[in-house]
Amino acid sequence: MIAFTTENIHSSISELCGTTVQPENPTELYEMQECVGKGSFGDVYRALDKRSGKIVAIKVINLEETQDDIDIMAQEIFFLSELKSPYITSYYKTYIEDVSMWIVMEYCGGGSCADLLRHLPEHSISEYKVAYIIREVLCGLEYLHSQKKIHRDIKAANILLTDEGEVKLGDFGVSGQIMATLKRTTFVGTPYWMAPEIISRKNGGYDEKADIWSLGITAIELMTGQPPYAKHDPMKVLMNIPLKKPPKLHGRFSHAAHDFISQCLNKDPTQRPTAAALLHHKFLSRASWKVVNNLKREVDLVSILKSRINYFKQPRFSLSDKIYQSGTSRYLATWNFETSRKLAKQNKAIFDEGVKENKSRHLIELNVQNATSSPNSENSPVSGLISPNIKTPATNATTPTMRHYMGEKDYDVSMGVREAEGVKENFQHMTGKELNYFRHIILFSFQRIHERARSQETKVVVDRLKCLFEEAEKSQPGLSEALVEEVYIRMEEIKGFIVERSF
Amino acid sequence: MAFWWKKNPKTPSDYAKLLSEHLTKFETVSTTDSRRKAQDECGRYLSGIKQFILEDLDPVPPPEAIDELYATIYQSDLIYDLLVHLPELDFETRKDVAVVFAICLRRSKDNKFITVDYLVTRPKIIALMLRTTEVALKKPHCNDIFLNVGSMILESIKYEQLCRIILKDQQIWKFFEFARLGCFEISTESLQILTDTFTQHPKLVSTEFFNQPQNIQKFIERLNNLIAHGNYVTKRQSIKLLYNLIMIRPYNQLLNAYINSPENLKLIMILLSDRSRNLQLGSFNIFKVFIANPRKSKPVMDILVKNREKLLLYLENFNGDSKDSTFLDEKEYVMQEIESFPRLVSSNSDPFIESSPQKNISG
Repeated sequence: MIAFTTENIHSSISELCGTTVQPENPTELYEMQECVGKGSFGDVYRALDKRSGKIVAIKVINLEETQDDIDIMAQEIFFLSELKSPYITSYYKTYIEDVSMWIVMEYCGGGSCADLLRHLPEHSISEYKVAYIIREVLCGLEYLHSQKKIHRDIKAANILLTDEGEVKLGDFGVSGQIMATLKRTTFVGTPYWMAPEIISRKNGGYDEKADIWSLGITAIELMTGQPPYAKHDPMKVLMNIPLKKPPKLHGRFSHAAHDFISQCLNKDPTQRPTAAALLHHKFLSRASWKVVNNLKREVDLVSILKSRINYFKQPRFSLSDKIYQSGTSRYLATWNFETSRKLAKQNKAIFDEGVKENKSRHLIELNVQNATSSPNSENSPVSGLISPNIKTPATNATTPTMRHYMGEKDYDVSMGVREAEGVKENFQHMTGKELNYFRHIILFSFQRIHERARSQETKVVVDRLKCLFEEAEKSQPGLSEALVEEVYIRMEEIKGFIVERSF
Repeated sequence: MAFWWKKNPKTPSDYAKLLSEHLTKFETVSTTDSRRKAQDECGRYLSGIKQFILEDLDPVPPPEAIDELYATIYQSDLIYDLLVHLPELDFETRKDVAVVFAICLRRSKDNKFITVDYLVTRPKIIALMLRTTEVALKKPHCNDIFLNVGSMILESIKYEQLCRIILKDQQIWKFFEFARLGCFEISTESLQILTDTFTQHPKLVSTEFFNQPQNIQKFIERLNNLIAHGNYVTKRQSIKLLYNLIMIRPYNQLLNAYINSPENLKLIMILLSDRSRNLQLGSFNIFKVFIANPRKSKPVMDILVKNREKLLLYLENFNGDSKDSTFLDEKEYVMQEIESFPRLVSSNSDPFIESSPQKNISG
């Protein structure tokens, strides 16, 4: 309906380019529940998949705020999508909602092994249960390494647990790889688990054996509650790992456990066993320990403890905080894209100017009198309609209303004369069709006022008013017509009065 | 099947022969059981081939045996058959197809990429590859299959002779459509394919693709469609692609066609005022090229002149807190240029108030 708004340009381009594909809207497919985690990369929510009734985890990454390249994130999502294993948290799908990426993944309601360490009263896990966790992680690593892929960030915090207490390797790709880069502040949080060759980067980097080192450190972490040197400054630890002898497991643990860890923590990566070989280590293969096949008891205990301390997380970005709100324009400005035919009329208009000047002076007077209630006043929430009658060519762009936008986020730079003329053209276009007072006049006007609104608040009020009007018209058909007629008659009267006075 | 053990592979090339044979079984399978069996067999043989050509075995097989394996792959048109049956293979085997294909492409002998040369003589393989993306869309697990083939296409584009085949295939236009599908993976992969196709071999693209005005026209139209209607990510990515392309020196024809059309300018100005700062900055990069053009077309100039004041007002606060000195210099330049445009005297033609709307309409 509005001739020169950007939406219109868009829709006309849309027609040119044929049908549009309707993308799936994730807000309709999932019911977001509470925020269950947050990281530098974004927030993680628990959500209900409305189609299957399944609970999923959704990572929400605000792409407008993140510095990371979308290409790199896409590569990491592709990386995730290539992994299918019962030992690895499954990736389902990615959506784009507003300016955020929603990465839908398998939900691990039991939290991570780091959560267990934090909340369990003894702050450690008994050896035979650690053996179970390590075995499951090794199965995940065996799969990953067979795909020529490296996790790079094995630690208790990245070993996740389902509600049933099953172990899943998680949190790589989108978080892992990005976090591993130096620009991330979280880098300082992870040196304790890093293999010496990753830090020294000698001999052209590192391979999947780096994960085996981290697994050894993780085994110590699970059994003692902390990785080695946990009390030391992370940067110092980072420098020391390549220089010092490998850490050892201290304490009263089985010979098998000591041996397993010392095999993982060999500073020469070529001497470290592969994941497949480690699965046969006696630490993991003791028959009596194989009875453990989940950590349900621990998971249940921790969930009770968490609920007791009212454990919840505050997301970094609110989900309702969208940059493209419905009811507001996508755009911060409207441009003048008229056809040049209009320009030709200008010269004539300039000639007419002298005739109208008298009239306009009075209108200005009128405006001054009503300054507090007119949109032309700077105090008004709605920007002024620069009426052709009061505007001189010289002040076109510098009328108060035009200057006023500066401090406002969403402002108006349009509604000049030529647009009014465009409206007229629009009108003539309708000639012959039936005039709908509500749609063609009332709704149209509200839309224009909406565009002129300087603040969000005003827009909301305008929208509400529009809805009320719609209701009124529905229940009392013809109301719009009556109102339009009355406004028109009154305006004519006032105009007549002005014209009378000006002669 | 009774004597299948007789077919137990002995040499590396036996794996290729057996795989080729087993792939045809998908055409006759009727039960899920027999399908599963065919999938398993194919997966086993392909993973065998992968290990040979990765030389991931101990002991490494003799080079003659590997040569023979490659020869068999070419003779039996194995890559073609793998593509035909790709949607039928299981998840892990499909990934192996892409891995095996990528290793084959890198195979060089006597300073020649023998697989690339083979593919040039069999253009139907690249053609099928491009079409398999579309086939994938109709299958379950369409994302996975699309990404499998997508990665094969991306590998092929790295080689100029193969990129030429892709450029000449009308199917390439379909990727503009795929880029607008709601699915993130498919859309991103499609844009990546378009980006690589049109940026990796600029000389080839400029002399054999953008040398035809109708290609330029169609290309701009399709890209504009993505910029105007894609989701947020598609918009950002396609603006970036557009900018990268018009900055490629040999693509002069594209640049000229682009910056002289008022429709393109309109779209870029619209995005310049988008609420997303990333889209604003992306489109500013293109907007500045319109401004810097010393010989602006009349329709482009008309739009700029008509919006002179609006643009100046808008740009004054545009990304004001940026500390990027390059950006600030560019912005200053753009604003100076716009200020130098003639000021337009505004029209004061009759407002429509003077005639009653009723009179205008009821006729």
